[in-house]
Amino acid sequence: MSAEPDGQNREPDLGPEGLVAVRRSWSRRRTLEVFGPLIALALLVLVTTAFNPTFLLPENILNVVENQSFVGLIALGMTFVIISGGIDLSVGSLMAFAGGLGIWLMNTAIRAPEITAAAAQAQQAGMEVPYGAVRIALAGLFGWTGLGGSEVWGVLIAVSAVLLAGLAAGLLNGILIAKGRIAPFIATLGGLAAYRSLALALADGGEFRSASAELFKKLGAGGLDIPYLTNRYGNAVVLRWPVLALIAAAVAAHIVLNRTRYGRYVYAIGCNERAARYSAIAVDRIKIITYTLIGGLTGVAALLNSSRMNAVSSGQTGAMLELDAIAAVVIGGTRMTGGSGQVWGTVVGLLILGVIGNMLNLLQVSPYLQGLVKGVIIVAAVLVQRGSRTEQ
Amino acid sequence: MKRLAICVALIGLFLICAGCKKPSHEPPAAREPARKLTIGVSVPAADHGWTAGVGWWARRAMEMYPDVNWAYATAIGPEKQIADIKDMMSQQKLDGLVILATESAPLTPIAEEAHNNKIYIVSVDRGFLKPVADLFIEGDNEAFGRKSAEFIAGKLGGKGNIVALEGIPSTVNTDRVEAALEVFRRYPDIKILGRQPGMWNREKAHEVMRNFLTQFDNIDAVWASDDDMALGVEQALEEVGANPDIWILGGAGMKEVVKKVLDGDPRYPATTTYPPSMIAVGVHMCVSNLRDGKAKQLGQFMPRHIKLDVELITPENARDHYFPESVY
Repeated sequence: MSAEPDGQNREPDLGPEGLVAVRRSWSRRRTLEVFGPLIALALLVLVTTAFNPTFLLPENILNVVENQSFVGLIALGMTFVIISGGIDLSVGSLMAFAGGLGIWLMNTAIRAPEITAAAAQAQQAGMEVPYGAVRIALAGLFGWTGLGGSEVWGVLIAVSAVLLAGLAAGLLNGILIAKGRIAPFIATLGGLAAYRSLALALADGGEFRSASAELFKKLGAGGLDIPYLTNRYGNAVVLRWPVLALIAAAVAAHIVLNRTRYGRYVYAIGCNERAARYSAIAVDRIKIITYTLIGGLTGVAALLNSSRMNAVSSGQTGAMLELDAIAAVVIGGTRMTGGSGQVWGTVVGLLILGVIGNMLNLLQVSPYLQGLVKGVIIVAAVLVQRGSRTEQ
Repeated sequence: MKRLAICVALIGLFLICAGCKKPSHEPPAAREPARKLTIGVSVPAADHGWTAGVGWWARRAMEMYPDVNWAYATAIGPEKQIADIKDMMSQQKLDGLVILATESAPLTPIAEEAHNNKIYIVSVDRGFLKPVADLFIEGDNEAFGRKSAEFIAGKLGGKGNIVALEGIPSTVNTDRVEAALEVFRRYPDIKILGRQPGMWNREKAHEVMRNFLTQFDNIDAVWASDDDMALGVEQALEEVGANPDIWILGGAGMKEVVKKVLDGDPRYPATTTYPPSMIAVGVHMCVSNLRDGKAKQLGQFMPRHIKLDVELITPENARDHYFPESVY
């Protein structure tokens, strides 16, 4: 499957002998490249199950997927970015900032009457006003438009703000990279520092705590009860929304990457940007769309994650998440240099990372050695699938 | 194909291993008369000295009860901690859970889920936003800030210039700093020249203190608010050859610093306690409250919230707070 696009782009410059060589070794090499991640995943599952069969409990499997669903949504976007020859390091910080901004706006809306009243009272008494000017102005605005004080409106504001913040940040990255000609690594490294700092500043270093005790939490923590299945504690096993969101997004991403013109262009740019440009592909626009896409997916992840915890930690949420997303993409067989890769590979990469984390807890590996085990397995997984790539 | 064959062979090998292992292990477990208690312990990863101490004391307390099935995990942030706790809950049937939360609010929903699964929850140091913990043990952070500030004000005679280092932005840090500022407000002649986060980390504190020393030449004392940071501050003072009269008040009772207080080092007139061993108190309480199945009855008279006092460590009482074999 992953052979199609880059195969098409590479065959012409190989010459007749090269072509024959490629044809002859195709099946063996491609088998490994395509099924490598799956083999690694199967091995991990078998080893873990062998040591502890509880791994296969449906609730535990769902756990693995659920724990990976937030980084997973971002990794799907990262697949597009890396195939197009770029990278996005800003996603982890953006997840904290977008989620935090949403909760901050939601709290301002829900508490608008209190904030306005407290500010007026403090002003009358000549005391220091307990809120910032922006917050008081926003509370006034929400109060004036009639949205203030309502939990439902507050949650709706949060949902739209988080998604918009994600899209806007992605768009900004895309414009900086495509129009500003800044290397993706540098442009998004700036975002990594800036969004974290914005989140810390907005929360004054602490946590964003949601003022909606139950409603907002439903998005990330709610889900469908699976009939006839109960967990160890006699409660229903829940298929949570983040899991469903990941599955839906993965299917959509697969279709977009393989069945649309946009998807083809992403491969083309990653293979050879200059050639793509000469072929009259609107390279800048495709790049901007790609970074906006990962921004939007980061927004969805931020929304579900902040909702699940009903809070965002300005310093910790999403920290180092960008590296997990990149790891999932690379383990899934996508080349860091771009031009080749598949969505389902990323999904398998995500599951590998998830199973590793779950396994280390299940087998009670010392927490101080978990990083070592994880590192070795990641490198080994990539080695298994790329064993013969040097032939190229 | 060779590679695939090797993979298949390996899989086969693992299956054989699994097949061999199971029968020898399962029956004895099934025949055991009383069900073993299963307790999960989830604490932050050792990103600074104090959390390293937490890990050490947690494992030390767990080793005291080999008859309990322990599940232990450390997390760098709330996301990992939530995943850890979810794993623990689904991988074995937990009777109890001891949590030192990386952050309060994000951990509240998962603690609520555990509570709904009827797991006995002991929360240590950082509470949840909802009353889901059966027992909550914390250090008194306000007393930490207040007693530190009172000591500084007293030793300076109500007049002098200080700089302050803060911890990782969090509720723990906020409670301490607010309480200290409250005290300093009563002493108009004590000037706080600068306040910067040193992240409870030696390197960061060292860097911040170097900046302070280039900015100000009239510092009388440093409120390092943590012993890791105090050591970083000391290093910065030595490097620039600062006035030997400048003294440091750390906090939390790291053994190296307690030793310096004990030895009467003029840089370290005192420090405060904030023992990481509180996690061991939590582990012990969890086991003893669950063991005889009387957790419900105990709930009638056992306090649900225990606040550990913070004490000033001075050369006179340092002996009682010095644990040379601890990591912290």
